Amino acid sequence: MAQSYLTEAIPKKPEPGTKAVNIAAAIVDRIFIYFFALILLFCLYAIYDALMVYREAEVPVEVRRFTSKTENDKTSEVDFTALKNINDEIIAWIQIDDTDVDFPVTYTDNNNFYLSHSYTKDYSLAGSIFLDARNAADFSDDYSVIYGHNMNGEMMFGSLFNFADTDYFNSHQNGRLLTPDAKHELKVIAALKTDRADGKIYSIQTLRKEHNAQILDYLKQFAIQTRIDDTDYQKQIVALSTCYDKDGGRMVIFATYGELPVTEPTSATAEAPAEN
Amino acid sequence: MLLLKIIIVEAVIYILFFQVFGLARVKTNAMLPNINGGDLALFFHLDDNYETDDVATYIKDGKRLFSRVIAKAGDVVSVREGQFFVNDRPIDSMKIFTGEIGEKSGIKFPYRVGDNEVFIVNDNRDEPADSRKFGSIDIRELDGKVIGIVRTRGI
Repeated sequence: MAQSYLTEAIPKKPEPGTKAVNIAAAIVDRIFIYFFALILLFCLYAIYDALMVYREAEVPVEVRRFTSKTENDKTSEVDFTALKNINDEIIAWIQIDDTDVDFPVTYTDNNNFYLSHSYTKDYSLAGSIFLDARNAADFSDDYSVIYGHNMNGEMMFGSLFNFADTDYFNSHQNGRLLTPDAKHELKVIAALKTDRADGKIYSIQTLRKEHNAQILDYLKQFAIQTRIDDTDYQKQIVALSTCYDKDGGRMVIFATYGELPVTEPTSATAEAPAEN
Repeated sequence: MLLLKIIIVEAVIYILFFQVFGLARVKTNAMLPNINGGDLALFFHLDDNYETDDVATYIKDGKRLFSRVIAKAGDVVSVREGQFFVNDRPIDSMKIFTGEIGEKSGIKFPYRVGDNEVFIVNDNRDEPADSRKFGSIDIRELDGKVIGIVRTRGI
């Protein structure tokens, strides 16, 4: 069938008078070719642009080479002296075992800069993982919040969503938080879906001191996954926050570490980031 | 014949896209709201006659940047009430994203733009890596004038 169609479609001998038609057909062909070539180039650029965004989201090799891992992929040592030569606002390293959460943590005086800048302080749509500006840089607060964009492909904090699943939550319980002065073991205690106006989670001025019990009680009531026991009431809490939609929805994972410190409250003024 | 044709086509493409025009992905949000990070910028290399409001591209510390010309050689740029004045006239602020311009400056105002130089600033005034930081720039250091933007994201 196809063959006969082809032979019919190709005229054996151009008849006089069809020349104008042939030229018109050639012009139409050309227009289509250029049109589709243009669309192809446009799509190729869109793909290239997306690839660049994801490349910027990766922890660059020059940052990652200053960490060392144990055999079971645990980040055990971080050369903060070397990291601070790259960016003096890298203050910690956070990892949750067997997940894609394995990042340096940045910290600056506002909650906007690292939404759009990489670990090397270059502009990056994917931003960085950063500690709330209202917290103490050494994680000495009772309660600290770390933010990261929700990227496809489980980059940045895109993998936090897996913790909504019971099996995943039960099989990913441990992590670590390394700072220049301390190595904290993290225990993941809860996964919560909320929104950015949630004062219990984001009002760090009031929560950073003596309110951990309130947070834990709140989590017991509303979190989609919990694993809270009495010892957690004596520990510090770190929350890992990312967004799950464009309307302010937030996915937050909570982990405990260390012991509740005895420190004086300090005042802070920064706002929680509008988006992450 | 085919070889000749390939050579000619390659030569034409090279001259068009590397000598006459240029294409580059914009990597910063310094020109918000007019150019987004991720846009593809098309620029023209050969026109060294920069007018006020033209967007110029240039290379600083190995990075391609984009900024808008607000003043030309001989003009005096000053900052009053948080906005730019050129020769005592406030400049058109329709294209500006945010304010806060003087505080991040590394130069002293009023600033006189030297011969063969232009004063370029980012539309997103919160990104101070422009003439506020390094002063006016020699036209020979500018790499081209932006003549088109292709946007595939954040429209």
